Amino acid sequence: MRLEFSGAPEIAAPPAVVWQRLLDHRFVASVAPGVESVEAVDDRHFKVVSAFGVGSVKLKFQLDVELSELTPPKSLKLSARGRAPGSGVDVSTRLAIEPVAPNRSRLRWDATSEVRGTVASVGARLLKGTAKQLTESFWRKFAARVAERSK
Amino acid sequence: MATLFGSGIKRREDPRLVTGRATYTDDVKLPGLLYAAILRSTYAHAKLKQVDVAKAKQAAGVVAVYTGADLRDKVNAVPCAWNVPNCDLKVPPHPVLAVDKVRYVGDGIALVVAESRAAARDALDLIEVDYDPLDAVVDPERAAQKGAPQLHADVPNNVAFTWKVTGGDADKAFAEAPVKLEQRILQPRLLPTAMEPRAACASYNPGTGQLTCWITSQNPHIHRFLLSVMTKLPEHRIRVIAPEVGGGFGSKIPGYADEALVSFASLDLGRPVKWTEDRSENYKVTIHGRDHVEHVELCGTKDGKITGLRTRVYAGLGGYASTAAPGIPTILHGLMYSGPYAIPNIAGTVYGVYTTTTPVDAYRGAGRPEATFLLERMIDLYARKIGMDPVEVRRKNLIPNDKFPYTVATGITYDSGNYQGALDKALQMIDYKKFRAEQAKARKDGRYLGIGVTTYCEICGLGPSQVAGAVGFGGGLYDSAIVRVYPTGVVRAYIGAKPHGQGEETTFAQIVADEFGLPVENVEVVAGDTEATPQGWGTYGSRTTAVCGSAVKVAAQRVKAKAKQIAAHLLEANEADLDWKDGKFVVKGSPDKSKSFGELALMANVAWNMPPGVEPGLEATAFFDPTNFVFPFGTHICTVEVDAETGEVKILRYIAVDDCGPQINPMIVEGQVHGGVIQGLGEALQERAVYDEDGQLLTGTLMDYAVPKASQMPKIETAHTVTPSPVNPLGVKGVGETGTIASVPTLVNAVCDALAPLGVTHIDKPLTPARVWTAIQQAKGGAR
Repeated sequence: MRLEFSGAPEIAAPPAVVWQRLLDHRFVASVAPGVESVEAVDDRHFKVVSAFGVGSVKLKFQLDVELSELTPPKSLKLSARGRAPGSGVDVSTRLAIEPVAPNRSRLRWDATSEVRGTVASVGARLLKGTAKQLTESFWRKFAARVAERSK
Repeated sequence: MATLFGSGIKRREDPRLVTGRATYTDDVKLPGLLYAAILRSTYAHAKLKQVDVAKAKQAAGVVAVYTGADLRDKVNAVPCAWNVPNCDLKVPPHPVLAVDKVRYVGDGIALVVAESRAAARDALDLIEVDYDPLDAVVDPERAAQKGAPQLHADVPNNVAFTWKVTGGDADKAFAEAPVKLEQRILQPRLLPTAMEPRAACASYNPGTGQLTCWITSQNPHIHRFLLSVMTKLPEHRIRVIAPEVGGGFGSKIPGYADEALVSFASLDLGRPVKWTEDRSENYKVTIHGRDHVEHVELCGTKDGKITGLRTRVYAGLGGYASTAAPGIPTILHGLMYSGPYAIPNIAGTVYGVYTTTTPVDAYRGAGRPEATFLLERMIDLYARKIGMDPVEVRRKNLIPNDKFPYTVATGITYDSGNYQGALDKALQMIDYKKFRAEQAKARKDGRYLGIGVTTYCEICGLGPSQVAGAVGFGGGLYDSAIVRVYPTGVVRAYIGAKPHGQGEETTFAQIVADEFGLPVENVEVVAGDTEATPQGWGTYGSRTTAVCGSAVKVAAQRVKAKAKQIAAHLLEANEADLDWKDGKFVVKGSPDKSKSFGELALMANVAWNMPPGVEPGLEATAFFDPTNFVFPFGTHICTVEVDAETGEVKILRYIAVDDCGPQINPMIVEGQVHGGVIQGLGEALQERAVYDEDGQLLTGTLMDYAVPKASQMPKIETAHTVTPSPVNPLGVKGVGETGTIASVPTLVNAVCDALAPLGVTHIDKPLTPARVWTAIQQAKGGAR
């Protein structure tokens, strides 16, 4: 099933700082929900293990994450392809950073996810709500932590 | 002696089932047993670029891993066995594991065999599959349009067949009719949900060259044949055992890749291999039912005489053609378009369409529920259009009692019927006029009461083998029995069919015990082992009692005829001078000169003193092939109250009057009616398998797929009429599917009737509160 979410939180930090944080995989992993490990293949490719629970199931996804179309410090694309027992997920997120005021930015994000297999058939009723909540809280938390650290 | 035929004795199957003493396929444990798990596609439609099993092969406990490429030359494709003629049927290959492409979520990709179930399942996660995703298409009507994603190279527009049925001149009837109406009707895809999921356990003995395969099967002889085709092992070296089978509803008829895979693995590894699906695998892999998009037109006179019916049906087949799939929406559907009515002009077209979904095959009723639903729905719409009572419209069109055998416009001949009688009885039970008065009063109070009346007939007791051959069914449809009398006078009947919840271990014992004047406890019925039972064709299509039961009866009669010969010899009397009385042959006029069945059993088996030329032993085999199908019928009535604020449907009363001919065991008949009605009410009210547009099955567990619960179901009031069938010696008709056939339109028509004052004419099932509420809002011209 296909899920589409978007948001545009404001961050109390200039675009350059937000950009730097976006590229810092350890920082991103520290705010992402359920991340158990992250390993950098190179500075654009990462292997992530993340546990995801929905309804009656909890699945551990192995994700290949790729950063592409980088236009510093304005925009990039984050793609993740992952699999878990009997399941698969593809996430494609477009990110754009806009200055809104001195030392303030807006992070526009737009995520499309495609969920396949067991996790779709077992968790369909709850998947949308859970995925929306997880995605939104991730970017909210990201915004808050970036601001916190840039104080 | 009172006969057992007609006696509602308790089912002998039940004690072992309710005390956990039954042996199911998954209970089979063998020394050295290995466990199989199958990697299944998470994409509905994709090219397989690479399947890397290297890591899985090295995992702890893993014995072997096979891919589609490994098996391509070793295991034949899964056959489709119903080659319906004159419809340009296209059956592309269905490999046991996908080779270059996957066509539904659940399509098998790799087989892992390991020392434990856990090791096999864990190893699945180590297999790397590189997919190249393609667009999915789940709606059969959309799949048949130009430009839709194509599943198979040689099947343009995914159309597997275009089948037509015609009788009379429908176009002329429509051109001339003063009243015409049309309706798009959806028959959503359903999940059969047998309580026991499927399983297979294969054990090949390299020493003897014999393969024994335990399969959750409704038809072990058919599975033996299909296994032989797929594994290439000769049929006489395969033994199929269907032990206790926990329900099937059609889902355990087809040949699947899975039993061929474990059989191949056992042949290859020389060790027994078992596979058991869990519920989510069952929902993805085991066949689904229904899935029609129907465009239906009906025409008639202003005073309620139906003159024509036209249909254009898109029947979803899923990714591949399952074993019986082409016959379900054609032979078992289109030929029943006349229902119990004399409709002179019929024209139907059915397109079988491949979609990127789980294959669709027979599910309880198989084609006939869809035919009955579309017809009964159209009749209510017609009645409303011409302002006539729907019961009167039905009465006006029912085939009269004195017209049987009756050949309908589709060309089939109904055996016997008393349609008016069943209708009258049901109307009397509900007190139709009184209910209509209550309904009128309730409407004034702003309450919405409704009544649905279905008069149905259906085709079952499949069927004459000659017809099976003519309609492309890949086998016979006779059935068989061996009745064997032991020296101590106890009896076993070995039958070709395979009951799995229908109670024939009890009812067939009643038939035999009656024939021999024995207590029912002295007769055992054995089924489900191809090594013990003669060639049979299984339990489906409400055929077991009518066809296999008749074979039991004929075999028992043959045994009795031989016993009579022996009795005449021992009593030094002419056979013509012997009477059968209280379990004994008695010489006419000499009541003290007699031989009991027990004495004759002993004498036949020891053979000390046989009549000249008569062989020892007391047993007989019979193969019974009926001269026609049987056509049970009846009237179901349901009354409901609909809450117009919430859309909730409350069933007030449910009445089922069914005529399945003489009933061997009325309690078991009633149980079959109850189960069928409840399964049908599930279909009418809440069941629907949901795929999203990417072909992901969203109703993948029992938490998401809404099978009916006891607390939601009404008390079912049953009654019957008795009209024997002339086509078998028992006079019986089937009753296993009548409930699912009749109940769905009964409930939907009741709800539409309730909401008539609001202008609601049709609601697509299932009638969930959301759908009913939405229909009310739409009729009011409010929110969509």
